[in-house]
Amino acid sequence: MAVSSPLQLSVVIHPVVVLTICDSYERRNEDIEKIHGTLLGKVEKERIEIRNCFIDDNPTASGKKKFNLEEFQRLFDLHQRVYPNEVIVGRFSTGDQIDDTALAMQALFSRVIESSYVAFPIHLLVDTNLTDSHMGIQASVYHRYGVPGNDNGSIFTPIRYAMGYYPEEMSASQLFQRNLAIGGIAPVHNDMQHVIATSTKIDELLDEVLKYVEDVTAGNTPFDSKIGRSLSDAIMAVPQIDQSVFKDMMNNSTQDLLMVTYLGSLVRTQLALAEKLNTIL
Amino acid sequence: MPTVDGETASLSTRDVANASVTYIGSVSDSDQCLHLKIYLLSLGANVKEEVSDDLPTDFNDIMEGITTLLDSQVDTDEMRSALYSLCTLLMKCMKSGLTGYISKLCSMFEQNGKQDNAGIRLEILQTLSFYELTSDLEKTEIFVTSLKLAKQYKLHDRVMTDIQEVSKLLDTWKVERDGRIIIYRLIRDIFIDSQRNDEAAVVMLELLRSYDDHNIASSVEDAKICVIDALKNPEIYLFDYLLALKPISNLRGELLYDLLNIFIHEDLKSYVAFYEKSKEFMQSIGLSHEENLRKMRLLTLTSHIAKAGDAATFDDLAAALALEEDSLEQYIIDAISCKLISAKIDEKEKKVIVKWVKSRTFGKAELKQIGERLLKWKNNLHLIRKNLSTISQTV
Repeated sequence: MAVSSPLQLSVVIHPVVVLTICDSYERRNEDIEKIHGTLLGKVEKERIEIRNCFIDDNPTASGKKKFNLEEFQRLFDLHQRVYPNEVIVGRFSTGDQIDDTALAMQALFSRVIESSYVAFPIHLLVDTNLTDSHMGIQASVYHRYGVPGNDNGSIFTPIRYAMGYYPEEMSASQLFQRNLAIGGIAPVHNDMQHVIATSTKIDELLDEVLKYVEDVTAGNTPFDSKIGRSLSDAIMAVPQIDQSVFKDMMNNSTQDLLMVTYLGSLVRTQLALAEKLNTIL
Repeated sequence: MPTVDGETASLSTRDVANASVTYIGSVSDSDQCLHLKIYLLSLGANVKEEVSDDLPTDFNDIMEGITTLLDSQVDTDEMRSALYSLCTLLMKCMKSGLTGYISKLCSMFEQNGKQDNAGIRLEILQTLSFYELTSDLEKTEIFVTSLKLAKQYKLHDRVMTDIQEVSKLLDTWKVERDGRIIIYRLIRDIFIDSQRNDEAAVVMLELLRSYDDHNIASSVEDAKICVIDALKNPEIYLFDYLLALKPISNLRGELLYDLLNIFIHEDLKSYVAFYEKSKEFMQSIGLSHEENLRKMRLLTLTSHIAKAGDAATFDDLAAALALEEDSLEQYIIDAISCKLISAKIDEKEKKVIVKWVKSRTFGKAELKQIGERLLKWKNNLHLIRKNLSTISQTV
């Protein structure tokens, strides 16, 4: 069944889209304030997944250059070659509110590519000015209003959305968050460091839970059997191993791992040596 | 909220609070009024054809004619753009400092209109709730009207029913106790209508939590519904969380409360005795005796196994459950599949070897046990980390 109301839509935005918009904003010509562009994504019944975007040919400050439809068509065709199942789902602009240009573009799009435009075009507003030091992201649906024969204007109504992450995007955004925490560029972890980092995280969480348990048993926090039960479910899901048995297991696998790593580096050294010898001879 | 490979982050309340409606008109207000009026006249509405220079006067006049539009047969797109036109006029009126229009629109939308345009009415209401000049009180009213419409026209997927999000919103709108009760009841009805019983149960709990000492007397009906729903639900076996709720402990002395206590603390025998004594009552609340027997057997099995320790013999269990040994196995398998126990069946020795058992009531003693296990886990984790750091240094 076709979607008959924007209230049925569930909009998912991938972080790549927001990052691309920010990046394009950073690279804009110095003399322009806002950038505009086209959103691409996949539409499946009421689910709209915004997965890609590209910006319009940058107008210059000297005057409002007309929208370059050919340039747009070229970019869109290129995109279609790479992602043939992505369609145009709407437009984006930056700033803290939707301006006349954004509006004009929406109107143009619903006219020019009417047949392939989605029933309820999305407008994504990304506040790259960081009003209140917060980058607000707002998704709206574009409507025309008026009576038959007399079009009176346009309205953008906000719509709920969720950020969606593919596993790759998730690990990348976790890395970004680590950067934020240390205020610099965090190195990419290797496997071992990953395990250590994760176990540190679990350790912290365990501390938190233990504190809760202590607080409740001491009577400082009210007891909630629901929390207790979920805790017990979680613990039941983890295999219970005695500490001494666990120690043996751990030691054994550690030895194995060290052995493998050792052999691995031995092979690598040998290869390197062979290569060196080959070049010398 | 939608998911992509299991990972989501929903829109934070902050973003909802900051979202704003933008509208850009291409004609003057009086022209817009004129267009709408002519359109409404063509549909046969009783509005004046001329426009005054005063927007509120015109707007009031138009509002009178909107019922005709809502009851007419115009197609969806036409209806949508006309109603959005009305919506922008309303926002303009609000901008000039006039109030009370939203309430008026809410009651009009609730009383007039057809099934076909109910979805559009919901859209307009939602749009208005995002408007920056709409007060929290008005937003609450809009939400209540939307829920009513969604319930009436079975448009369950068009309104927000996620209980966590709703509670968050109600907090931001500073909705009082009575308002919350109305909203939670509506959401519960919507869940029941769309056969989402588990979610309805969650809403019910939230509803009961909204009662306090002042209005506990009016909670009796809701509390009863909540208990009966829980007992009826074939997937709920543990009910001790209900006792913590004030409206439910308030039921003390009623037969239903006794029944609930049997499900929480007692065994099959007590249930059967209770049933024999109060057959009429059991019929009046519409619980199936067969289903109750099944539940009570599983619960009795659980507590019996908990008492028995590491292993329980078939004989003992069969006696406690008043069953033949042949049909016992099915109950053990059921108990395992609904995660009341984790155990293995030893056919040869005719016993059940128990790994763990869920306790029917969860108190501080159980929590203490969890604490000990957590500590053990933590120690093991420390060991892993120590070992790994040594390895990663060597490598």
